[in-house]
Amino acid sequence: MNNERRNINDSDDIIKEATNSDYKYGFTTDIDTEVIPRGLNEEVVRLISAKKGEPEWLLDFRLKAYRHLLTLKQPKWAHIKIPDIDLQAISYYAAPVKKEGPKSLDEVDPQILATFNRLGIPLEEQKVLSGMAVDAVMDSVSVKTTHREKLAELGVIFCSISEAVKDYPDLVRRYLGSVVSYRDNFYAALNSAVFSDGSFVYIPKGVCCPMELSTYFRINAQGTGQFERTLIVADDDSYVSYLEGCTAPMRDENQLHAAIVEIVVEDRAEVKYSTVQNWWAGDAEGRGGVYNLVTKRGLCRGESSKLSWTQVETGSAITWKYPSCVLAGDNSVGEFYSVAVTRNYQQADTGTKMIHIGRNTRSTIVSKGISAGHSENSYRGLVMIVPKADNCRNYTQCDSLLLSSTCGAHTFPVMEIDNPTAIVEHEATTSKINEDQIFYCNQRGIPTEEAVGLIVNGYAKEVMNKLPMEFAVEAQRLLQITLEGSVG
Amino acid sequence: MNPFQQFIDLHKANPDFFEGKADIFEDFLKAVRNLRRFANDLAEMMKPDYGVNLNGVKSPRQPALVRRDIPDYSSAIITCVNDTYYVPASLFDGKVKVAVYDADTFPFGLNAYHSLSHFNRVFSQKVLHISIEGGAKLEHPLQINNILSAAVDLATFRRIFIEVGGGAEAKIIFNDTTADADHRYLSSQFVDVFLNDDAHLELYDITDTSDNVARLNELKVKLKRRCDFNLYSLSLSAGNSINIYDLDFESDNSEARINGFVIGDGNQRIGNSTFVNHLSRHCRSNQNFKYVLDEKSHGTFYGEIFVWEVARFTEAYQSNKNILVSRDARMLSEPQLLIYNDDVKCSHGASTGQLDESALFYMRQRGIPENVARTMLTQAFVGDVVDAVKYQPLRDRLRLLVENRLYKRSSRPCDNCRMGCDTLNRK
Repeated sequence: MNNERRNINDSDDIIKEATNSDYKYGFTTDIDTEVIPRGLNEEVVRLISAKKGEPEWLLDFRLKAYRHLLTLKQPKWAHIKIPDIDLQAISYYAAPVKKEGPKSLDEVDPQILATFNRLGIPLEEQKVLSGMAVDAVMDSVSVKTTHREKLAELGVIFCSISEAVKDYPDLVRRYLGSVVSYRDNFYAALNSAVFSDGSFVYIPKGVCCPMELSTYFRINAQGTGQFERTLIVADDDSYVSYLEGCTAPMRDENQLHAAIVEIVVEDRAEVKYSTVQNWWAGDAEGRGGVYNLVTKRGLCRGESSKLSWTQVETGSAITWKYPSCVLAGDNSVGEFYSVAVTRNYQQADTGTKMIHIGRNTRSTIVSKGISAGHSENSYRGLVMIVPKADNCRNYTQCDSLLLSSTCGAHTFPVMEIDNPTAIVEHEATTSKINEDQIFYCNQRGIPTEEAVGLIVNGYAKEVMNKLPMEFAVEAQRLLQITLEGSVG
Repeated sequence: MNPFQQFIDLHKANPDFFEGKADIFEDFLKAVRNLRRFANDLAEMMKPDYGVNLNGVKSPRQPALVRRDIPDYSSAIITCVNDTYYVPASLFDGKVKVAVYDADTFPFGLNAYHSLSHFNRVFSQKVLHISIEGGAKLEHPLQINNILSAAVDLATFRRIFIEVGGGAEAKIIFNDTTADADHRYLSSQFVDVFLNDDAHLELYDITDTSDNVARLNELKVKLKRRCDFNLYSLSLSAGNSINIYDLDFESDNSEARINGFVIGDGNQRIGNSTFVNHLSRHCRSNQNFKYVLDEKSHGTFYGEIFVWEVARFTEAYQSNKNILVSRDARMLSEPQLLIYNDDVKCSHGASTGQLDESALFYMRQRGIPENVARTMLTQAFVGDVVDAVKYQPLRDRLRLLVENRLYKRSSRPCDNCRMGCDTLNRK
C-alpha cells in the first residue's frame, strides 16, 4: 500500500512499472467456486433467489423483471459496435464456496485474501489505519465487510445487499427499484432478474459518515457475468463519500458486467460517488475484455440535496454508462465529472443525464475524453428542464483529446429546455495535443512520451481534483500507465 | 384514407414506379419518427386531406402575385406557383440556363438521400434545372419565388437542380410565401446544388409562410475544390417546418458558412438540421443558428459535423444559441461532433436562456418601455446573423423585416404576405 501511495512525481518507478505491466490485475485466483450451469430461464432466477434464501417479495421482483426482460431487445442506439450478447452462454451465479460465514479475517479463505492483497485492497485489519470501510464483491458474493462495528455505532448501515435483505428488509423493500426500475432498460431488467450481490448503504438523519466507504468488484470465474446492485440511501442532513473500483482477469472471451447503482438523497443530504473503473480492456488486437453496461442513477429527492458523480474510466472493451441525476427537490445540485480514456480497440459511450424537475436546481457537467489507437470515445448527455422547473442552471463542458489519427472522438449532447427561465450552456472542443507544449517539454529534456503523460494529466486535472485523495493518486497513475505506448 | 397512401396504392401495380419501394410512405414516417430530431409531429402534418397534383395540372399565375419582393435591387425572378414554374425566356444574357423537365425524363438522374427526399422523389412531377455558366460573375441575385396559392388544401412537390460552373459567382434567393392563408399546404422541396472548382455561391432560404403550411425542405450541396459557399436559413415565419441542410466537402480547400435564425410564435414548430460532411482535407465550415421562440412555439436544432479519417486539417465550428421568451416555448438542441481523425480543430457550443435582465433594467431606467427594450435586445440577438448577410440591399431589407416581425407589425400589402414591399416603400 505504501508502494501504491508513492508520489506521482516518482517518474522513474512509474515508467519502469508501466513498461513492465500492461494490465497488472490480469490474474485469476484459484479458489473453490460454486457455479450454477450456464443459461437463463425462470428456474435459474428462482434458483439464485433460493440459494440466497430470499423472501417472497424479492423473488416476485426478480420474476417480474425476468418476464419484462423477455419483451425487450438489446439496445443498439449507442455509438458502439456490440455483438449480440448470448444470455444463455453466461452463468448467473458464481460464489466462492462458503464454509460457514466468516466471523473474523482468519476464517476468510486465505487465497481470497491473497487476491485482494495483490489488488492492494485495504481489507485486512491493518488497513483500519487507512480509514476505509471496504465491501469486496468477488464474482457475485460479498466476501467481507470491514469496519461494520464502528459504522454501526453511528447507525450507518454498510453491508452486502443480501445481508441487508435479511437484516433490514423494510429499508431495502422501500428503496430497491425506486430509482432504476426493472422496466428502465434491457440491462436493468437483466440485472434486476439475476443480481447476486452488491452493497447497501444507509446513512441515518444528521450523520456525516466519518470514513470513505469503498467497494471493490472483481470478476474471477470463467464464463460468468457480474451483476451487482448498489443501493445508497442518504437520509436528511447526512453526508457520505462512496468509492467504487473494478478489475477483472485477462481472458480471451468477453465478460459481461451489467450493474445497477441507485442513490436516494433526501433533504439537505449529500452523496459523493467516485468510480475508478479498470476492467480488463481486451488485448492490443481487441480480443476479450469486459462489456461494462451499467445503469447508474441518483434521485435528489430532498430539498437542497446534492449528488456528485466522479468517474475515471480506463478499462473495459465496451463502456455503456450514463450516471444520471434526477434533481427533483428544489435547490438540489447535480454534478458529473468524468475522464474516459480509450486505447487499442476500446469503445466508450458514456456521459450523463441531468433532469431538472425542482426549482432553482443546478447542474455541472465536465467530461474529458482521451482517445488513442483505434478506439472510439463518445460523450452522450441529456440536459432536460421540465416546464415547472424555474431558474435552473446548467453548465456543460466536454473536451476531447485525440492521440492518434485512427481513433474517433464524438459528442452527442441533447438539450431539452421547456422553461424560459433556464440558463443552459454547452461547450465542446476536439483537438490533438498542442505541438508547442510537447516542444516546450522536449526542449527541457522531457521525452515525448512523458510529456504526453504530463499534458494529459494536466488536461484531466479538473476531474482528478474531485476524487478523494487515495483515489486521485491511483487514478493519476492509472492514467499514465494506460497511455503508455499509445502515443503516436 | 391518407391521400399519399391512396396514390401509392394506385400505382402499386406498376413495378417500375417505386423501384420496389411500395411502402415508402410508411418508411418515411417511421424513419423521421425514429430520428426524434424534430419537435414537429410529422403524422399530424400529414393528416389533412391534401390534394395531390398527379396529372401536372398547371396552377394559374395571378399577376398580383408576381412582384419584385425586395426593392432596391434588380433580380431575375423565377416564379413557382405551387408546383408550376414560370421561367423567363432568358436570364443574365444567357449566362444562366433554366429548363423545366418532366421528372420521368430528367437526364441527370435523381438522387435521394434522406427520407424526406425519398418522399419528394416519389411525388414530384417536374424538375427545375438551373445551370450557371463557368466563369460567370452575376452581379444581381436570381430569385426563386415559391408561392402557395390554392382553393383547396394542397400538397406541392418541387424538385430543383442547381449547377454552378467553375469559377462562377452567383447569389440565389429562395423566397417562400403563402397567398391564400385559409388553406392548408404541404410544401415539399428538394434542392440539389453542385459547386464546381472555384465556384462562389450565396444561397438564401427565406421562409415567410402562413401558420397553415407544413414545410419539408431539403438542400443537398456538394462542393468541389476551393469553393466558397454561404447559406442563410432565415425563418421569419414558418408554420410547421423541417429544414435539412446537407453539405459534402468532396474536394480540398473549400469553405462553407451556414447562418440561420428562427423567429417563432403561435403554435409554430420549426426544426433545422445540418449535416456537414468533411470528406477532404483543408476544408473549413462554420455554423451559427439562433432561435427566438415566443408563445407556444417549439424549436429544434440538430447539427452534425462528421470528420472522416482522410479529412485532415479540418476546421469545423458550430454554435446554436436560443432565447425562450414565453413559458410555453420549448427548445430541443442536439449539436453533435463525430471525429475520426486527430488533425482537426472542432468545437461546438449551445446555450439556451433568456434576455439579459441587467441590460433590460439599464434600458428601462433610461425611459425605454419594456416591450421596446425587449424587442431591441432580441433584434440585437439575431442581428449577427442578419449582419452576416453579404448582399447589402437584402441585408437592409432583412433588418426591416425582422423588426416588423418582432413588433408583430402588420406591414403587409395584402393580408397574407409578410414580405410587404409596397406598403413599406411608401413609408
